[in-house]
Amino acid sequence: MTGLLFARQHPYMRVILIFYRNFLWPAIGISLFACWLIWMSGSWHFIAASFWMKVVTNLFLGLSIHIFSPNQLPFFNNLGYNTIILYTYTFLFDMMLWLLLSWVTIEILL
Amino acid sequence: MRSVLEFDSVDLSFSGRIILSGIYMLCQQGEVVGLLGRNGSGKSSLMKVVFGSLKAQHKSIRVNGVSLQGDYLKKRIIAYLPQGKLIPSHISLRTAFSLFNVDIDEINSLIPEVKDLISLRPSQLSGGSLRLIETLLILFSPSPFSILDEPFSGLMPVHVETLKTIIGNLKNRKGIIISDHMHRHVTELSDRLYLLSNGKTYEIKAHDRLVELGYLNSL
Repeated sequence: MTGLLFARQHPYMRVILIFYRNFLWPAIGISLFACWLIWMSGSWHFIAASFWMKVVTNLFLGLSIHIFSPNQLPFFNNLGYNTIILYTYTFLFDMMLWLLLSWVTIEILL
Repeated sequence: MRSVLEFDSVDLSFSGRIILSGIYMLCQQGEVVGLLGRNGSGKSSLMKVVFGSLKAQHKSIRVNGVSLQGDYLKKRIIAYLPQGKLIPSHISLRTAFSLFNVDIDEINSLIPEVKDLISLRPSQLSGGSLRLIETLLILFSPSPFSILDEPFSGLMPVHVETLKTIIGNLKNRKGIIISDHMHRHVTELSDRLYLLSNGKTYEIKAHDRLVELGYLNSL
């Protein structure tokens, strides 16, 4: 909770979190699905496949936002973020969340 | 010293079709520069190229004679109001003002009704009110230059007049480039006027040039 509050106060993280809200539900849903697959397989070995699933689905999510909602990019460009940096930071943030959820799943499992 | 934004040699083409070629424009802090042009003449593309969000085949953009190279968006020298919506629908106007480092009290003192709208989200505002707020957000951001693409679009007449007064007062502290199809407002506000036609800019010193160049049928 403190970490989340810190993230919201930090200007860079605040901007990334605002952009991330475009992807939030599908991205979290896919991460939870990946954790469920790890849980069902009963082994942490599934994490590599889960990683690639996240990479591919994130590419599709980013592409769909870029094609269907390009109008919101000038807002972030005005805040000093070019489009590539914005997508890269958001992608890394989502991958960290996925890693955290996977780690929690493996801890419970083992 | 007043900052000067200058751009020339902007070449932009899409699929072999030349959109911009042989552009020259200059905007100083302390003046409003108007940009007129017919639909599809490349005004919005030129604004995006200068802002830094659209790559051109070639461009030279300088501030006080120093060339802006690479990713200069992060320097936040230019604030840009796009033709479409600006503020994401899921954040409040207060959050947007905070991210842009805009002093809400200063805006409240000029337009008191903004105070009632500040906690709302864009989807809760009428199109005209949102356009006014977005234009104020860009104008009052700390960037020394603001580029406004169709700021009067959808605004009711009383807000158009208010915005014109604000732009007239704000130019003392920044350079403003403005483009809008309501050409009379643009010409009234502008200290310097350009017409974009056939991919080139023409500085307009006398308004009958707008007729000569085919932008207007008559004055």
